[in-house]
Amino acid sequence: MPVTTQSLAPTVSKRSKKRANVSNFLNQKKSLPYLGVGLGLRRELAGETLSTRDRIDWLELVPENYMGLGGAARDRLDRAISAFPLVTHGINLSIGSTDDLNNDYLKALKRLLAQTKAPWFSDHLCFTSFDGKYMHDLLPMPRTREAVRHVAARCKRVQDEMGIPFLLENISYYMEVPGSELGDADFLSEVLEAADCGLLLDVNNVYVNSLNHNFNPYDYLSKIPLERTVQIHVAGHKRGHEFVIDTHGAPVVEPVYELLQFVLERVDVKAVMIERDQNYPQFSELLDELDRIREIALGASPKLLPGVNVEAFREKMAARKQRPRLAEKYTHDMGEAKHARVLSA
Amino acid sequence: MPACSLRELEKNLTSLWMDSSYRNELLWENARRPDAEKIDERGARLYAELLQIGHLDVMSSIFPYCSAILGRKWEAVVKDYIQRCPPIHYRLNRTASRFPEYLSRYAPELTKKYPFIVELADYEWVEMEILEDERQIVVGERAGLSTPEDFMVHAPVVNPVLSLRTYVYPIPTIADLVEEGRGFRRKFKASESHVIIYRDPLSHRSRFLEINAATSQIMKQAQSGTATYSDLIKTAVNLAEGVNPQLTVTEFLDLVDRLHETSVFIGSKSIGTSS
Repeated sequence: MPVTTQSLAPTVSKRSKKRANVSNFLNQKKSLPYLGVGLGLRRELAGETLSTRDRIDWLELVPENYMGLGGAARDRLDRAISAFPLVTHGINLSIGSTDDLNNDYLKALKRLLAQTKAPWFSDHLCFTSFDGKYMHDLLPMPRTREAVRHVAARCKRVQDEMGIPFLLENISYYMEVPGSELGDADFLSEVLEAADCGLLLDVNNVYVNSLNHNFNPYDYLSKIPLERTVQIHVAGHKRGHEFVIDTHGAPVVEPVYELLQFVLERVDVKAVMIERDQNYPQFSELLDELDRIREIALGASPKLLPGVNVEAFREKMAARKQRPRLAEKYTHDMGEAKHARVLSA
Repeated sequence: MPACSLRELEKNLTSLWMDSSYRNELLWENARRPDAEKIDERGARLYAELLQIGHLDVMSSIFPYCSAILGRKWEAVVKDYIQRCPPIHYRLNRTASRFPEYLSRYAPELTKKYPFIVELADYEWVEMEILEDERQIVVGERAGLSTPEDFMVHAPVVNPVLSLRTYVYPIPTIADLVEEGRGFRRKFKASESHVIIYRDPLSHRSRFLEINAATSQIMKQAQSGTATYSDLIKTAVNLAEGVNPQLTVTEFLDLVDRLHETSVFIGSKSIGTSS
């Protein structure tokens, strides 16, 4: 399947246009700040990340890694707060679960959002828990009308409780869920509109899903309310024998950059970031990927980058293109040595 | 209209991904269904595998010694643990919190073969709890102890992120041997061990300090927050029956220095009166 920006499609669905003028969210979106191009804060890369303020505009953090935690996590959070604009991106709100929302979770999240002064917060359109048990993975929901109503009501509640805009992310999924009544794009669209919340568009997920489920990603983008996009995730994936897996463990591929460009050319986006969670490369390679995104944004949506000196950045990119590219060298994530036992009296 | 409610659909999906016997039975029946009703077998198996890998990863990272000792059994043990004690907290690491309890309640063959395994699992889990503990460690001034009065009015401040453990087995030794790759087939005799597990206020790493029974008693008293250095010396002298008290006091002063240097004590506070 050719995946290029040639297959242009209408940007805003008819349904979205009809709803747009009654959306509080879309009005709210106008006042959200442009954060620029950011990176996910990961323990393994924290030292380099936190000392590279000049090439990273903002950071996204996983709230579960900081809520109610002290020690190194708290220290990392404090350093991030003092140096970067932050937003949170949760993994266990479990917005799609039919369990009650976890009040302890919500209280801890609210405290963290206040600490970080995040302009918005996000989580995934999925369920991660059932019957009080957490599965610790982003699991696809049955895409039913009941699910649309259920998720929308919960989105409204968490958005009200947190007091700042809430974004839902489209997930990657590896099986069609039995009992579904709606396609993925329709389900996402109906939830976003019924909840009147924002979209965290993961263009890598769109691409991965398009390969696994054999659809045109540009058709998908034409069906969803792109104008609700506040933030975009960019990431790498891995091609396995049976599936393409959203690993966040490889460089971003060209078709994903093309999807990013497609979206940035069409809608106002406040922030873009790279998710890298494993198989970490040299840090400079991640910074180069951020620059690649900046380059795309400068052409497609310069207001995303309020602090960038356009001429200086273009000169820098031109100079870089003249240098031969280094061979890709990847380092494995060894993590921290678990048992740093220095004392054994 | 879907045949099931959202709740029922989520229940079925959860069983499909988490319960291998349910999955195998369903997928066996699935093979005989018409195409339109078929469950995506490849996808179902992938999710089951991803979930299992996730559980195994977190358990192996928190219990490297238990996993090394259990070797090839480890994966099956983790699977059974997750079935019996599924994660109930939104934080991934909390998945491991009930593992020591699981071993003592549901794994009689393992505890018979490795009678120290519950204590070793506790030792490993406490490290994680210490690392994540929300409390902040505020390091204060250490009082000078140059006059008898100083000993009577000042108390050590114990690091709040600290756990004092007493084990029936020599757990720190077992951990060291496993780390060196020498503990896999060894039998260990019961031999009481005492260990302070705490978080270093500067590096935020967990530290392990193996201590003797007397120091353990002194630490318990110090943790009460009301014992002056003088009270602790009295305890030390009483515990060291038959030993020259002057020698005990000298050793106590060395111990206090060591506990301050290692951030087990993080300062001193004034509580007593000299009268």
